[in-house]
Amino acid sequence: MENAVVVNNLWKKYKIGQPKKLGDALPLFFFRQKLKEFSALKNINLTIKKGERLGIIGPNGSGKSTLLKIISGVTAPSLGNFTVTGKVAALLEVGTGFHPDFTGRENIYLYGTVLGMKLNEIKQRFDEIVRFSGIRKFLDTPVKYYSSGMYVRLGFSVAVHLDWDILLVDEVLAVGDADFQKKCLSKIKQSLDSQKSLILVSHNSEFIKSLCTKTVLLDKGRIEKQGKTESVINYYNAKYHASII
Amino acid sequence: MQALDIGKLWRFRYLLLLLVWRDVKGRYKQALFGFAWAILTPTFQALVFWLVFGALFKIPTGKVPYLPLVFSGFIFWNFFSQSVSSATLSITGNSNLVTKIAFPKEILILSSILGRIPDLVASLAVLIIILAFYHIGLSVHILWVIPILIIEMVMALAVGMFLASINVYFRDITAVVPILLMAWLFLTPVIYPLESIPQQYQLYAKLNPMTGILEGLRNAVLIGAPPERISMLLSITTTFIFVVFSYLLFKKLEKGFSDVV
Repeated sequence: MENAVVVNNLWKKYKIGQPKKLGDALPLFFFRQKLKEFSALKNINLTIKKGERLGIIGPNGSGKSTLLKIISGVTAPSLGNFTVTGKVAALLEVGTGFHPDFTGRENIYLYGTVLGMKLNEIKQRFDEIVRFSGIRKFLDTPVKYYSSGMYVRLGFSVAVHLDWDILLVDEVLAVGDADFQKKCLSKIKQSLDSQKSLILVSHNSEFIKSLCTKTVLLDKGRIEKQGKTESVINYYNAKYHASII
Repeated sequence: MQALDIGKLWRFRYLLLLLVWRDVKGRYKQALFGFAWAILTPTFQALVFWLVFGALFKIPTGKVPYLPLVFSGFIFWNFFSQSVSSATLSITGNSNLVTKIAFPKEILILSSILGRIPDLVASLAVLIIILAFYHIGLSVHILWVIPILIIEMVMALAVGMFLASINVYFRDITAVVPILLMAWLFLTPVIYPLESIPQQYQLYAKLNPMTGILEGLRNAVLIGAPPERISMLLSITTTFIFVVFSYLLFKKLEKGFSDVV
């Protein structure tokens, strides 16, 4: 089977207190001071094959969203590398992939062309996208005025109706109501085939169980465990939730 | 090192188109005189300098009267300087786009430059009226305007990428740009003709890529002559070197844009 996403020895480091003024930067430069660093991801190695569905779980601050952001290309890794084969549609934090000043209509076209689709291909699916999202009334409103629910509805409708090979979904689905969540889950299941891959980040183990064959547990930027969804989720629940219950 | 990926840029043409359209529409929507500012700005600039240097100090301008000289100077200069100033702010000003969409960020620089074309076209129409008033005829050499404007855009792209990428890390650039552009304006034959620079300094003046560009554009419009070969070649060479350097720097710094901006 071909690989869809390969991640090799990947690190993401953030500098704490990056200077914005020359006056702050010069002393750092002259006295060879180093800014403190924070590693959000530490030596990540992952392979996702075509047709595979990967779940990512882990406590807050474990690097799940950062990893998706890197795979989607929004931010670059500090060390290591990754390769992505195919078109990536990303539903990360609310509003990813959208230009806030553009209207809903313009953003649908924008998203499609960014995925490499032709204008008439997008036009063909336009009505279907709008119907699924249920926000026809606000199509000509700039999306920055949308509520987070509307954002997610539109973002999700666009992403699942366009041509993608790899779909990245962060916690965003949690923003939609239960009805919409159900609709989305069945739509994702429908669109997945042997060539399409999915990476899903969620705290909802039911979502992960119903969609993902393989799951990775991240903790403090490292891969703590990976394997069959069932066993990773059990391990996670035993380790992290035992103390609460 | 990053190679120039035209295919990737082409994929984002619709984003570029939308950004240009937004830029042009947004700029004039809130102004009382709207699109008229495209014409009013160079007109006022030209009138002020005409009053001071044309009427008061009477600097020699050869065959061409001062007003068409300074007006044409300003419209071609403004195209460059306004492109550069909006390009400088284009990355920091679109932070919500930079952190939300994976796209080649030079799209933002390109859109800042292309968005200035309608202004230029509108003021070119005014220039033609001024030329008619002074009985200056157009010749076929006016077509030189097109390739030289492309060189000017490449130069704006080079300066824009350079300043915009540093501005992400040090906002001091925002303050430096107006000073830089003012100095550059006076060092370029915009409000005076190249001939009024003493002979021994002319070579230095021509090392400034904007000299050959401005002179070439003005020759094409006012005298109806092809550009002077040496200054044009010097301009093309320096522009090319600068754009390559700038692009490499931009691509290096681009990796941090979404984290730092």
